[in-house]
Formats: sequence, C-alpha cells, structure tokens
Amino acid sequence: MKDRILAKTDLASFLDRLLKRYRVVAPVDQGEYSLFRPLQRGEEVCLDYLKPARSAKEVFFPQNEDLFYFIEQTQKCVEPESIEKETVLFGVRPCDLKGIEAQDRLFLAGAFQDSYYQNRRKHTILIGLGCESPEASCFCHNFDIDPRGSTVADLFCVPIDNGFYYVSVQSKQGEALAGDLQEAGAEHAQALEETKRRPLKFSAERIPLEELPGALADRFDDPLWEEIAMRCLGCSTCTFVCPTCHCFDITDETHRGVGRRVRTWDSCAAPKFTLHASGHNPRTSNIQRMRQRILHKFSFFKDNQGVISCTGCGRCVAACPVNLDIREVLSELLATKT
Amino acid sequence: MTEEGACRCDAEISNPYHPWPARIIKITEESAARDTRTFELEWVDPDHTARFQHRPGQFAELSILGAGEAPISITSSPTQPNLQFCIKQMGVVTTAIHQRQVGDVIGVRGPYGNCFPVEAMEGKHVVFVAGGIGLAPLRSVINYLLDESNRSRYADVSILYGARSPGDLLFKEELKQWGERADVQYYETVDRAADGYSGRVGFVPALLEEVAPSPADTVALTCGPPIMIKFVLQGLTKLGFAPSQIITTLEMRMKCGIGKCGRCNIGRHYVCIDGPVFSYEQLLAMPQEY
Repeated sequence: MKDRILAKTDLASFLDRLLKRYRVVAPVDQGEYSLFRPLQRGEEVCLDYLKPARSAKEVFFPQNEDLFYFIEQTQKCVEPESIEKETVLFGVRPCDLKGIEAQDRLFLAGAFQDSYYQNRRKHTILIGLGCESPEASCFCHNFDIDPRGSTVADLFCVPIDNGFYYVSVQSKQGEALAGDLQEAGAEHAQALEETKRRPLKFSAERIPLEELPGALADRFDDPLWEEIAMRCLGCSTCTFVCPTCHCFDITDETHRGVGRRVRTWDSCAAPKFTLHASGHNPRTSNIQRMRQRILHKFSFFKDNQGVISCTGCGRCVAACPVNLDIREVLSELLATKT
Repeated sequence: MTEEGACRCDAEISNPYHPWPARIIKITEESAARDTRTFELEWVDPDHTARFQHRPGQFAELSILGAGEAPISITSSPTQPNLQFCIKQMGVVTTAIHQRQVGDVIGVRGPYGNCFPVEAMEGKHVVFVAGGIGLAPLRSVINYLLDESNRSRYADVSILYGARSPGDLLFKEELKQWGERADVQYYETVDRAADGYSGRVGFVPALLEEVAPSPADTVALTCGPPIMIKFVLQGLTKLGFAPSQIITTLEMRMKCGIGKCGRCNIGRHYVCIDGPVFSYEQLLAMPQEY
C-alpha cells in the first residue's frame, strides 16, 4: 500500500469525490466551535478549530439512539433499519482516535457486544489528522499517544511543509479512498520525518501517570476527595464532551400507544444516576460522585479494559464552567500519595 | 473495516438489548399486603426454551414496552420447568408488571450475572438465612439443592426464614413442603404474630443465634433487607464463620444488565457482570458504597 500526498487546497474536492460514494462526516463550523457533522459539500469542512467541541464518540455512540420502536398494546417491537451507506469520518485527531479505541474495548469486548455500536463502527472508515500545535488544555503527551500518528485510522494525514498533507495508507479500505491521490515521493517522506522530529510544546509538564494506580489504591476514604469535589457543580458537561465516557440511560417514550426504547447519554455525575426505585442511593453526595468519576476513569476502567479512560484531549478542562482542571486533580493525588 | 482494521467487529452479533417475549401463565399473590407476586412464564418462541439456560443466582431484565426494564432475580431453579420471578411492586416498571394478567406477554433479557457457587458447595452443609423478599433469589439455589438429581451431593441443609408478619411469608405452600422434608431443617420466624399463627416470633438474627449452626464444613447463604444482613453477618461471624464461608446477593440500580452503561459498579466490579452474588470476603475488599 503506497502512501499519498494531498494538497490542503485540494481537500474540499477530495471530500466531494468521496461524497459521490459515501456519507462523509467531518468537523463543520457551528459559529464559535466546530462539531462532527455530515457534509453536503466538501467545502463545508472546517479545520479552523483544533478539534470539534464534542468528541468523535458521537459518531458511533450517538447522544440519542433508537434501540427499537413498539406498539404498547401488542408489546411487539421493531428494530431500526440497519445502515446502508458506508461513512467516511474525516479529521479525527489522535486523542479522539484513542478515545475510539477505548470505546471499542468497552462496547465490543467481554461477554456481551453492543450491536448498535458495532453496526456504526464497522460501516465507518476513519481518516485521522495529525496536530501541528497543541492547545493550552491539551495533555495527550501524558498517554501513549503520538499527536502525529495513529494506527487506529485507515488513513492518517499529517500536515507537512508547503501546504500538503502526508497521507499514510494504513488499511485496504483506506487505500480504496485514497487511490486517486498522488503517490508520496522520497522528498515527502523526508518532510514527514522532519515534521515528526519537531517537538510539540504542551502547556503543562507531563504527569507521571504510571504512578497513578499506586497513588489511587487505598485512597477511597481519603478526605482529599471533599476538597476536589468542592467546586464541581455536577453539571455533567465533562462527561458529555469526553471521548471515553460511556455511561448511558435506557428509557421508554410513548405517545398515544406508540413508542420507542431510546438510549441516551447519562453521567455518573448526575445525582439520580444510581438512585434505586426503593429510594436508596449509594452515592448521595457530590463528593462520592466525583470520587467515582476519577477512580472509574483512572483506575477501574484500566483494571477492567486495560487502558486509562482518558486521552488528554482537554475538552473537560476547556468546557468546565468552574474551571476544574483534571490535570490539577491528578497532580494533587500524585503529590499527596503516602 | 477490513480484516486488517483495528476494530474487532467481523462477525455479525445479535442485539443484546432486544427482549425475548414470554407469556405469563400463572400469577401467585405471595403477600397479604398484595404487593408481592410470583409470575410464572412460558416462552412465546419454543426455541428460547433451549437457548435460555440459567444458573441459580442469575437475574434477567424484565421488560414492559412503554414502561421500561427492571432487573429481577430468577427465583426458579433451572431444575424447574418454567421461569419464575417473584416481584415486589416498587416503581414504574414493577407497577406495570403487576398490572399484567395471565395470558399477557412481557419481555425477558438474560440470563445475566454470575451464580451461586453450587459446585464449590458440594459435600458441605448449607445454611440459608433469608428475610422477606430476600428469600426470592435464594429459592433458586434451595430448590436446586433439594432437587433429587442434586440433593445427595450436599450434606445437611438448613433454612432460616423470617418475614414481618405471617401474611408476608412468601412461597407459603413451598415453605410447608420444606418443613415436611426429612432432609431439610426448616426454621421460621415472624417479627410480629397475627391471629392463628403459632410459630416463633422474633427477628431473623435472633433466630440465627438460637439455631446457632456450626461453621464446620458449612457455607451460609444470606439475603434480606440491609439491616437484617448487617446483623446476620455479625451473627455468623460470632458463630465462627469466616468471610469466605458467607455468600450473599446484592441488588443495584441497573439499565443495560450487560456491563456497558456504567451504572451498577461497586469499585471496579459491575454487579451485573461480577455479581450479583458475592462472598462476604469479596465485599470486605470492595469500597463500602452500595
């Protein structure tokens, strides 16, 4: 499989050619930020913002997903139509690609596999996009993430000199997309190497995350959680913008006897998340919920799925209305470990 | 994705959220308060009878389209012909189930969760300590052990059961049968007596202290209201039971039942996957948040 190059000025027409055969989803300008949206025309793609305000998880795990439709009286249900057209997801940064990898482990591995996630995932071709410089909130350098490469994507585009992307072709499906692009020459490969050698400046020092499991062990009853939770409003914004958060609710909605069972994003930060029908609630205080969130993402998920449930994308840092910075929380937990 | 793709989704998988239809063939009013009923079900699709094989202690998500789903332990033993669920009316979904009649169809997803360690328990004496609706999940193991295909592999079986009042005792016909069996020691108590009741009066922990089972080669299985469990655990410990010899089953708010929605965890364990059956030894090692 030969690597390719793509001029930045040719990006829109490349996406237009894809639109003839595929549904194409890419970052689209929403005014003050971008979001992953289906394109009508290639020129709608917007790379003005480093990454969309919400992660790529919503392409595979949408905020609302109809599980099936039913008629109350007959108690019969009908599943939604399965996906007909392949999707190309363009412009996924390595932090979001790592997020997809974490979601794959949760939804597809284990004793049960999620067929809704699987359906969207297997009908989507991924085109990754390398970063040129991190934002102040970015901290992917704490994880096993290369801001300029990822094997999760079918194609991976790295901006190199002279207004080009170096397009690494990493799968047969990627090759099917990039077949009409100019092949990369030796000079392009060298430009890629030079680009990759340039150091990236992050706003904060790397946190020694490998020390985190030790720092979190036996900390369940630590009074530090109260301090950490003090500013948190429990608004759940962090969980919604996060590439790896995966909690959801399932509810039935009906109108005049016809309805749907729908899956929607939910959050462990929400007060009623764990409320029993009896009225008992294991986590009644925000302190308990904050502790649960941090321990789940940085300890329990790692125990169960093998990776930390965080990719350093920094969206939670940017979006939190009270400027709660998870990097500070982790640093504090590490600094105070016994 | 191609075969080289990072995503492991080659094989088509079935929908784990799609409930299987089951018809209600019998409803038994269990409690004088009329808030607890046993529903006996038969599969609408005969194929499902062979495909749904459960082990004692597992649960299912019962579904009423329009109301939602609720996780309910399977009270019938796999040695019994039909699936049974003993359900206390508590919230939206259980109320909707209680409104169903014989002949109505409801949905079932499962079997989910782990099970009681019936193989590890072989050769041992087994003591059941149950309170109120806590008897429902234990009944699947009790009837499993007492089935003629299994009974000989277990030593002495004792059942200690209590409820708030005589009217609240569940499975009254079966309690009588257990009491009449020569190979079972059945002890009953109620918190407060009523007219016509001539049995023991007192709380379950007091009954446990009175019966005082020996911990030697014994496993204790307990389930009931949290306050009862707290005192039963103390009582068993005082009698010399090690935490590994005590087994209980937990309840938790659930939605997916298959370890994806993140709702039912205690520490790293999901009650729907790693539970609901846990030993006291396991519980002591888990965060005390449930």
